[in-house]
Amino acid sequence: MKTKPTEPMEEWDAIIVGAGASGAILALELMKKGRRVLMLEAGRGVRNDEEGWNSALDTYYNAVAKTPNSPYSPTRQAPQTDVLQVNQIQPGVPDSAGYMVQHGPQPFGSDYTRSKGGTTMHWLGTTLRMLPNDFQMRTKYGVGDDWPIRYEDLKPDYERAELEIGVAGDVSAQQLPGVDAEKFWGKDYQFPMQKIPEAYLSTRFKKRLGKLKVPVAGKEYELYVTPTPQGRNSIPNPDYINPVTGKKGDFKVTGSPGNPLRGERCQGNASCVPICPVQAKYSAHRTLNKAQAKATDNDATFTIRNQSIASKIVTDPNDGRVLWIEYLLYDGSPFPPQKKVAKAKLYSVAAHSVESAKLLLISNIANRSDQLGRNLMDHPTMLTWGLTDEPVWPFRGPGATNAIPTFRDGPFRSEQAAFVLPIDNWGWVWSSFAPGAPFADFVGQGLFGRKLRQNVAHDFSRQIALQWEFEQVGQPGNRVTIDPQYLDPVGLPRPIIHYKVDDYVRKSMQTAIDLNQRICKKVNITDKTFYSPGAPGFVEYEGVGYEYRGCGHLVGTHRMGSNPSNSVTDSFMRCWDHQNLFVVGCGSMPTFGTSNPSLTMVALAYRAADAMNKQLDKDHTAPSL
Amino acid sequence: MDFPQTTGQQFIAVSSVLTAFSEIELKATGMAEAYWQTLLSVVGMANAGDFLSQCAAAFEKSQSLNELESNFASMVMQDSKCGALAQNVISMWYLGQWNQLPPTWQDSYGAVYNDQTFVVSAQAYVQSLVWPAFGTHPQAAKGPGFGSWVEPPLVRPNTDAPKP
Repeated sequence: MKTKPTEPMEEWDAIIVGAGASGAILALELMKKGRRVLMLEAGRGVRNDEEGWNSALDTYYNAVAKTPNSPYSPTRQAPQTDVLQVNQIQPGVPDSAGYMVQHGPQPFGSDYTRSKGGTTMHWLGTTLRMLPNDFQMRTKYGVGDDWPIRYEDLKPDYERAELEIGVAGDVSAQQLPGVDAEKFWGKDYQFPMQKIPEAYLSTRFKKRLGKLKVPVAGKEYELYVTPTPQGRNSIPNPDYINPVTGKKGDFKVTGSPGNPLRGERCQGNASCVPICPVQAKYSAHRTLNKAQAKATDNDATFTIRNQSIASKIVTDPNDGRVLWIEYLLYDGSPFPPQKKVAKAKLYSVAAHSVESAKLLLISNIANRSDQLGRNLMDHPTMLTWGLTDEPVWPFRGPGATNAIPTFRDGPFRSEQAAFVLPIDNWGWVWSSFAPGAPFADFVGQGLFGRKLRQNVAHDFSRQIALQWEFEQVGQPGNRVTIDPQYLDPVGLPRPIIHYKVDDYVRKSMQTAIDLNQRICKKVNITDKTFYSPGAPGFVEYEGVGYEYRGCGHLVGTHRMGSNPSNSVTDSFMRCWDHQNLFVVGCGSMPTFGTSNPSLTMVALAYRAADAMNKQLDKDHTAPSL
Repeated sequence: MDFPQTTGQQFIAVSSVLTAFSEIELKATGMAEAYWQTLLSVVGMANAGDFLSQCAAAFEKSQSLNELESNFASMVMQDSKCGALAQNVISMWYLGQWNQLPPTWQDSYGAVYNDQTFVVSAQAYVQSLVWPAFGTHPQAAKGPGFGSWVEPPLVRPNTDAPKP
């Protein structure tokens, strides 16, 4: 028996859990229709004004370890993972050092941010669309799963996502394997902003690489370097046709949410991850601000309640409809949070792959398929690094302005993972904590004075790294679970992660090392790569050791599908079992190829928002009980 | 070689030898006082004074920069007390960071205060010199402007291979 809460409940058109990019898009679209929306955010809501942002920047400056979450300290009540808390896992001994409890066999290396703005606070800003074959992995390659929709179904929403995020790029320079460009982009399609200028390092690399042909799985491929579409501000493109208004050149650059005069162009601060000082990179704060402005215009209501942790979703045992949502409201005091309830016509959980799955698992709902929490994916990322034979001047400009997309698709995918290869623009920052750690090594060797300075100038100006991001496909065993043994400070279960990097990925690691050697030879890079058996992500394949890291691309935990037995939601992200509950985010994706998932996530949020608005319109005309 | 009279000037002179940045470049960061005070506050006046005295001795014995660096190597960097302090002075200038001293140092030279690894201040990070040493700016500070990364940096350090 469910006991109905005694205090009167607030009633809304929709309640959205999570103030990240997905939730922000949902809110904006609901505001356009004049709805009344409550948004619950577990973490702080302080960083959308200039003062708050500068405070995050100071926190970053003062951090000894400048990790992705370092500028964004969590509250005690809504803890988050830090990548420094990722360790090797001994069989049978779960590692509970961080917020996520890791069961292994391999550690999950990625984090996310529990805060207003979500993980767009520290995303890099790469906005690759998925390729058509990525949506049909089972049909095309016999691995992974098919989506219930095709690329063509999502294409209009990709265009909306590129408008809202503000993508800078050059459509004509995109070269995607196996893709008919005109069909893929549409005739005359342009990005809202001109491409982000390509880094000197990438240009030198591209020139040196020339036309290198390499064998992979018995077939010859040519490596080519293309400029990467990015969600950061550049020069507006006069030829852009706004897909919503249909007008040419209709795009206005959005600056920093706290100070629109700042951030109208990328300033080359070389710190997209973890913090863009001028916020020239898109964050969900922009869309949340728009939603709030829209609420005023449309006589709608948009209330964001920060420090409010959704703790349980209660459903009707007869028809499965969500009855109400419970949440824990807390402040800075040491007292326990207050228990609150709220009610709406529609509910949307958009709290990030891990947190959304966790909330549904706690609520014991939406799991007829037994797929909830399963198929957790990332892009296990292997780095190779070395020194060029001339200065390439790294650490200037965005994290990666170029990539090699050659292996984003190909027949090899039936046997091994596809991969995309960004050319890192920040030297050995990720592989070796450069410049700090290599500098400390020099000093540790006794270097000082002129010799020290010369070594720094010589070596650090020649640092280069390649970032091999491997596709992972859904595995039921890679999953999020909960266990009452592991609770967080407010008594909610912590996410427990089971994760394995299988041979599908490891085989491509082997390929990558072969390709890396060929690239180093052609470009004249002295390879300095080494993988330590003590590293958290150390794995072996055919007797050779490799090392992966988490890429922050957490995907797959509440997949959409074609029927209730294979998926948590339908293709509109509506729960099969709960018709007034949507679950929206990277967790919705059955596969994600080699594309950084945020763009696809935003496109999916548009798709879900349309469905929610349609459903609310229908509810509105139904007689009220 | 001449060694200045006041401790503030002495600290700058010593820092210049250790970092190979000129005194004016060091002063321009505005961080000299903060780094001297950090050294003082962590290891105390007696240890900091010993460090400067040892550096003074190296200055006295030297007629040229070559000699000075060679005397610093033997008299300061290899000294069991002063070597670790010199390394931390280097770390503060280049990274803005104080590194926890080795346990053996603490055992030998007595009580220290707040000796853990920390960034001296937000400004210390912003002014850290490792970045200009290879032609760039600190990540998340002093952004050089839209598109500047297309060309090599305007101010380029000498990147020739160091002599063996």
